[in-house]
Amino acid sequence: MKIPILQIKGILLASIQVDLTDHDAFEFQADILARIKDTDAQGLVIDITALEIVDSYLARILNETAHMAQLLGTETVICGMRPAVALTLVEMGREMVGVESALNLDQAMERVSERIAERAN
Amino acid sequence: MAKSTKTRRKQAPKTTSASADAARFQAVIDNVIDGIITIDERGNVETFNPAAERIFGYAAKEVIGKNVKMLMPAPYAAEHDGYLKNYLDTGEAKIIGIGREVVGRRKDGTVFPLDLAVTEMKAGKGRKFIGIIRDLTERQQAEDLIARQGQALIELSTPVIQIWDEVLLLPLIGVIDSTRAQQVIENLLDAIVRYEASVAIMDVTGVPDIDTVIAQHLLKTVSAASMLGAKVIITGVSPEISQTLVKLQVDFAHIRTRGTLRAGMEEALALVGKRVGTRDKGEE
Repeated sequence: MKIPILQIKGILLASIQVDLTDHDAFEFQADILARIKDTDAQGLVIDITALEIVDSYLARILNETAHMAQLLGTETVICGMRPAVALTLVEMGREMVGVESALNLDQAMERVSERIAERAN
Repeated sequence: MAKSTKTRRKQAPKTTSASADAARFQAVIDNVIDGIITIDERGNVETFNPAAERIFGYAAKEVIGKNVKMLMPAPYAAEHDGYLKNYLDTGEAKIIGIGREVVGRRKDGTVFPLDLAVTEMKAGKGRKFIGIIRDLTERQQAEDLIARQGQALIELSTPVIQIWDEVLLLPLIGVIDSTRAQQVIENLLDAIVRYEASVAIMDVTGVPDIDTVIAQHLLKTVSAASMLGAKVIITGVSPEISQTLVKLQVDFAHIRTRGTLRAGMEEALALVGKRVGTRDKGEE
């Protein structure tokens, strides 16, 4: 299962709609990094609204991906996490340290744009 | 062993020390706190000690010779003869030798909870039953009160208030235990989604003390909220609490804290791009 990565106004948008196997998750990470390199995107939004369960492996992959993207100079925001998912991750001690989060796609796009604008100044 | 007891009991009336024993035994029965009632096989009361008089409000002579069901409220009163007969017929014990919480009826008609332990003894050809009764009214009242207060505390304790667009206020008052902490997290996360909030102020002015466990709960709340994209500001940290936190080496470094709710409000509004101030007259 390949996750489509869209580009909108210089920002990459990846929306995870189905549960990912560990292998899918790993490929997803590689895909995103390759796309960033190809497009030189300034921002990245990963939307997980559709996910009812995020296991510790996927949580780690998301966390790593965000940090890797930031190392490539791409402002990254993860959005749409459900309260139950957030609670579980905190209980597991898998909170997303140092990763920007947003409630929904709207806020995420806004936040990424703000960050890019801040960097330009 | 059993044999020797029997022989001694047979000899008992003959010796003076035995009658002294009996008197002493009677004194014990008369002075214990628990009510002691004995009944025969038909359910008629044979003895009724002073503690039982106190508990039920009847004098012994009003009860002795009458059926014990007068001490029970409906529907148990009507059923008691059946219970007794059932036991005598089948030998299947529902309460004898077990003891349980039941209800009794006082002389004035009030119904009250009591702890009843029933034992059986052989007497001549027949059998007798000994009931030991402890009044549970006060304990029950105390338990009810605690349960009611506990519930009230939970209901009172975790409101989440929207004070501005995208800004929530969560005033915490009183002692926070794990149950409450869990509820605080859940309520806050739900409210963040419902109001699309980006900042939540958690005010701990009303929390008397914060220990390591509570501090961990607060940290958890902050991380969970931040994963939903909301920033949390903790306000109302008292000097005592700040001392405790530093001494316990709780890492609050990544957390926005403000001394007062006022300062927290200012920070929250700044985060959502609003500003508090007196309106300049020239603007009007």
